[in-house]
Amino acid sequence: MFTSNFNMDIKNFLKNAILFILLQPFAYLLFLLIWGHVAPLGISKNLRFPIGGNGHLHSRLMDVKTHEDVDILFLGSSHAYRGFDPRIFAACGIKTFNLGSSSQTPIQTDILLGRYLSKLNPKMIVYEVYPGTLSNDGIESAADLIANDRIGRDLINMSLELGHIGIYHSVIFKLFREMLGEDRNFTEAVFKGVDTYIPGGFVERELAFYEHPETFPPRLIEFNQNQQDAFERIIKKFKQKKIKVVLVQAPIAHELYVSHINNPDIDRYYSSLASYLNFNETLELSSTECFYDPHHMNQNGVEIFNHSLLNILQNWMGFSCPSFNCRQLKGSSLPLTHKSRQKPSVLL
Amino acid sequence: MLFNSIDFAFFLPLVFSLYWLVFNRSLKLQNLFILIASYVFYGWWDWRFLALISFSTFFDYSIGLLLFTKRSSRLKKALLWASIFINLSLLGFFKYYGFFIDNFISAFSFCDLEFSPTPLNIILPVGISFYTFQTLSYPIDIYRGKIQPTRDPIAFAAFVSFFPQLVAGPIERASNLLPQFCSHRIFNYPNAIDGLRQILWGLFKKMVVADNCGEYVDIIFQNHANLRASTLLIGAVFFLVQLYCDFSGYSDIAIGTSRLFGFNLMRNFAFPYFSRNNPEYWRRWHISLSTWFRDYVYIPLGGNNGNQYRKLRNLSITFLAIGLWHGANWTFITWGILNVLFFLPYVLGIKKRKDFGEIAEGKTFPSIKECYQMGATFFSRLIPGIVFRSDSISNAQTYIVGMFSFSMFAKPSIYPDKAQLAFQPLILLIICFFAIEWFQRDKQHAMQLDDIHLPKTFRWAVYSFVIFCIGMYIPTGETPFVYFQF
Repeated sequence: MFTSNFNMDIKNFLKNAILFILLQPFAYLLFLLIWGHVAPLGISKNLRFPIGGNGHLHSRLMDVKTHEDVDILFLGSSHAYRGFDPRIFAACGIKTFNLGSSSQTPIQTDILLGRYLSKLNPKMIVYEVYPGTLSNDGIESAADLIANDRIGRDLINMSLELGHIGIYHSVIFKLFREMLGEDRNFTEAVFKGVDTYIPGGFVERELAFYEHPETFPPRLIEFNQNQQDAFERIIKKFKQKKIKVVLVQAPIAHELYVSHINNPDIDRYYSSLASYLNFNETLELSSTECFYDPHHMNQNGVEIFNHSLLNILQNWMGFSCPSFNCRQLKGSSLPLTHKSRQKPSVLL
Repeated sequence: MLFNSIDFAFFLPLVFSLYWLVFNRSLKLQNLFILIASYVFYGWWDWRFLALISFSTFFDYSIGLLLFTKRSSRLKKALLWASIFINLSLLGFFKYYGFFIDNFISAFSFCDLEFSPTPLNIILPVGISFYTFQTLSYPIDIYRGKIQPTRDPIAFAAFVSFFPQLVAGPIERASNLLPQFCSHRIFNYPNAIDGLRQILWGLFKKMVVADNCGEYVDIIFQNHANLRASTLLIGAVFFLVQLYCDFSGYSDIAIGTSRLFGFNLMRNFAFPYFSRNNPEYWRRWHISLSTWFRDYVYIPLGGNNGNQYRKLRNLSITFLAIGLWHGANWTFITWGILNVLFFLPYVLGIKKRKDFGEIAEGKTFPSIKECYQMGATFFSRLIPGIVFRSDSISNAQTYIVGMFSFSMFAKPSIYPDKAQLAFQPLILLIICFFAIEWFQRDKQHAMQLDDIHLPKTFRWAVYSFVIFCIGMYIPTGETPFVYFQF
């Protein structure tokens, strides 16, 4: 049985197998590099590289370099960067920056804070805490961050912790691009379809309305343990740095909010950690008039929400601003600059 | 341990190296090593059920010896029935207890009677349907005088628990696999290389095609009541593709792995979606199961002999048994009945069962007639497929009714935000996959390249690209094979 033929065959097999395995990392990287450049984004399931993607994160991270010593720093998901308009706060003399990003989970918030907190040096942090982000795996947000910011040890550690092949691919691809200097001259358009980037981190959507609110199936929001740990770590960090923090649930469409069956538990959890404002409980906004989709307010909703927030914060920061409602806004001429204000006729 | 897991990626090379480099001097040692490795492989899932396999092994080994030594035919018959009874009772207890109890409760309540049996939380041991049928063939074949019993308990135990095909087949016959455990295995370089190619193709089928289809299938079948007919049609088509790629992918990995160890397992799938009618489909689909039922159920019942009534009876019993083999649910029984209906024109003599031979033999593309036949056969599998996938008959019914409406002509509405791969690229992927299978249809598997003269560099680049595609389309987390539930 143990013949010379056997010896030759098994030797050949093992030699070729080992050689093939050793070559695989190089072949894989080569294919990844080529694929990342030639394949359309839609067909690359496990290569997420939304440079200049929907949330204008690239512009925001360019913009943040020009800001320092702000009064309020906004953090959170798209509910934050589409929900806190720095112009409204600026009108009251408050200097703000919105560091929200798409589906930003606490794991990515932690990284952004590590990179920009000391420079922005905020007096107060308004942390938008849509509970869905704490139940999220953080993949979408991680890919957004990798594609739009520089690679560092913090991002590499985050990728390893997430343990997702799509994120590994994104990090490797980003490293390639950085080595080749491909992102150096990348500039993101200010106007993208119906979205406009507003300096200070806000993204304004052309005025639209959530005309046909749907019913959502009941959902129990269960927090992801890693996200919860990161979240509590962040709150602890703020307390250590003696930065005042307000946790805020920005308004979402009523139909979506009531589908979350454990809202009271979530409220209790947030209240136990820091000052907490749930605007879904205190601010009545019409789904059809103040939102453009179940998650996001239109500019009318943003104004009402921001003014309500300002009214609450004035006790802490010493300023005052008027309040509005959506009906008033429809025909009014508030000092907004965006083109969306030009087409209120859709409303009535 | 799943084939598509990191654990298996370490387990296989380790077992392979020890098998050929350390234990190759003695057949007994090799068999013992395979047995240990197989028990580790199975015990990785739940070690408690190793006792069940051990019992099955010991019982059938003993019955085999007794069947051979006893002279009295009555005693032999009794031994055979004892083996069948014990094996099927074990299977029945673990697989069908809940089903029968539930149905008894329903039947009693229908008659206004109360029946409240003690509830048991029974876990279905993975692969029990596969290894039970594999071990059942052993005493039956001895009784029929087709094989002689082995006197090597280690070889027999290794045959029963052989890890590549333990949990989802192919369901091997003792007459094919057992002799391979009793003779020296020789390492064959081309065979091992082709085995690796088959494993790679199996992984591609499972992780790239099946799992990505599965994401849509899960969403569509869960929300079928609210979806358009066109979406439901796509869901049903995706399920057929998922089922084929998932199960044949598993079989490819099992066969390829066995080849690495010097074993040849039977073919389980022969490009079934290139069939031109339902009888041909059944000759190409899950071959090891359909031939098992043919040889041990259909032919003993009388097979094609007798009048039309007898033929129909034999066919009905066989397909109902195949349906029940898949699981304890009325959906599987209905699926079996639907398959009988497909055979009805052939049983009644309306259509003639003829041997079509190879499809488009010697030609690159099929004729229009063949395209029509293949398309018709594929689409005829949709209704049984929906019944097979649905949780209950009522769900299957609403799905099928929903599929036949005017919204068939509306644009399919699939939630792209829930599935990770967009829907159009997936269609393109499926088309490319079937194109590759078509051009390789005369081979054992679609990645068999041994008679194609390509430079080594090119071949390695192809393998590397397949590996890259798996990495690019792999789902998050481990997804078990569909047939593990059976």
